[in-house]
Amino acid sequence: MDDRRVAVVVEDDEDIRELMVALLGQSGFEVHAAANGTDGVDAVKENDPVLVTVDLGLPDIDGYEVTRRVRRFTDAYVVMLTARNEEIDTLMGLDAGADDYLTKPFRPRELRARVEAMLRRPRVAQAPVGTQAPIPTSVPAVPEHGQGDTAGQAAGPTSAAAGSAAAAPSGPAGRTDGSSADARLVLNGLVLYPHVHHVEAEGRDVTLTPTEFVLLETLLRSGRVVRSKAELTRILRGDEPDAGTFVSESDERTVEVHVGNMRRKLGDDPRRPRWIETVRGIGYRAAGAAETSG
Amino acid sequence: MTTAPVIDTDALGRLGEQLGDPEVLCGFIRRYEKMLGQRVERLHHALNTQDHDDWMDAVLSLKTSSAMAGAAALSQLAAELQDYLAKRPPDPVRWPVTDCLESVMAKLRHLARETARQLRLFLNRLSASPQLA
Repeated sequence: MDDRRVAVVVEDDEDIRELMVALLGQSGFEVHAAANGTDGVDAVKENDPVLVTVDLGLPDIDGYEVTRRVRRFTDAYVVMLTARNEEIDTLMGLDAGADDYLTKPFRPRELRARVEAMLRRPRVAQAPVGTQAPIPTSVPAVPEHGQGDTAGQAAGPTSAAAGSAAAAPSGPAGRTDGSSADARLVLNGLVLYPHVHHVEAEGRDVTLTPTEFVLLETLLRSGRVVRSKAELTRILRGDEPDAGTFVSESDERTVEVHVGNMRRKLGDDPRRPRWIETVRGIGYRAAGAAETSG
Repeated sequence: MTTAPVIDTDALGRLGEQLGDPEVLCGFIRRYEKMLGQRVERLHHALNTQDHDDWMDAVLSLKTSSAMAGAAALSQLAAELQDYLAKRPPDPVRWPVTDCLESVMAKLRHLARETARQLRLFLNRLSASPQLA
């Protein structure tokens, strides 16, 4: 397994960029830096990182567009940095496919903590092209693009996902099945393939971000058990759901946004949910017990 | 009007502690200080051309980088300038009249020079006794 940790920093302010390069270098990353969005996308293509940090305000293409573009070919964790506190920035950043966001000015300790938390998150294994594992013809190893915002997850042989998945200490809560590529969770026409990072809703391919995928898989595996937003936050961090670690309102709000984006992509109406129910004041649960097969 | 100290040495101390390496801290401060003039002039250019997007980028860059570098007064002044125009609808933006603009820029330039001077002093003290970081 390739255990190198590569990061790409896309930031136009030289002082902040070099500071981030130094910080991530201290955390053991091999860091590549880019001063604009176009070069940043190229750097991600060339270096196959597990982590990408993207500043929202870049001189050529903005951070949203950078994130959308890199999402077409990488499953790396994407952290969006923004100098604006307005909620809309956060929401749009998450919708663009970012896994997390950080407001500038940031404390070095905070950046390190976020990065380490993300790398502890359960990363969904993907089937590399050419794998011996049987992949059903109905499940493409590389999800097709060209629909909607195409914030896709590639599963090609150069994807960083395989390495980060293998490094993850645990899967979504309750994971117990084997590693067969055609293993699936099925609920009311929704099919989730855990090992090829693929979701179909009523036969339609749905492209979820890695974070959305983990949330959906966790909820489907939890059956009718309610998962609180604090539990889901901890699961995304790679903590035990009941670890009791601090969860802020902002963390819970982030989970809400991820679930909202996931529902929109699935086409699930929260007022008449087929797949994910809101349990007011607590969190979420699956609308039924998902069947497992494979 | 800003009431913050030009340099918040406690904030710099905390930054140094979190970075854990005086060289990284010095490198960041040197780069920040080197970029200060161009950040201020970018703001001036955006005001002159009444380019709202460029103005917001420039003011946010000055505000956040200054906050990280312990340049508390500059960061606060940038935040006040951000609020001044951000609260107004972007189309049409009510830009400051020329006299006011020149007054704001003069204050910014003066504060930037003083910030740079105090940061250089801090760096000198830091090289004399690295445990300050």
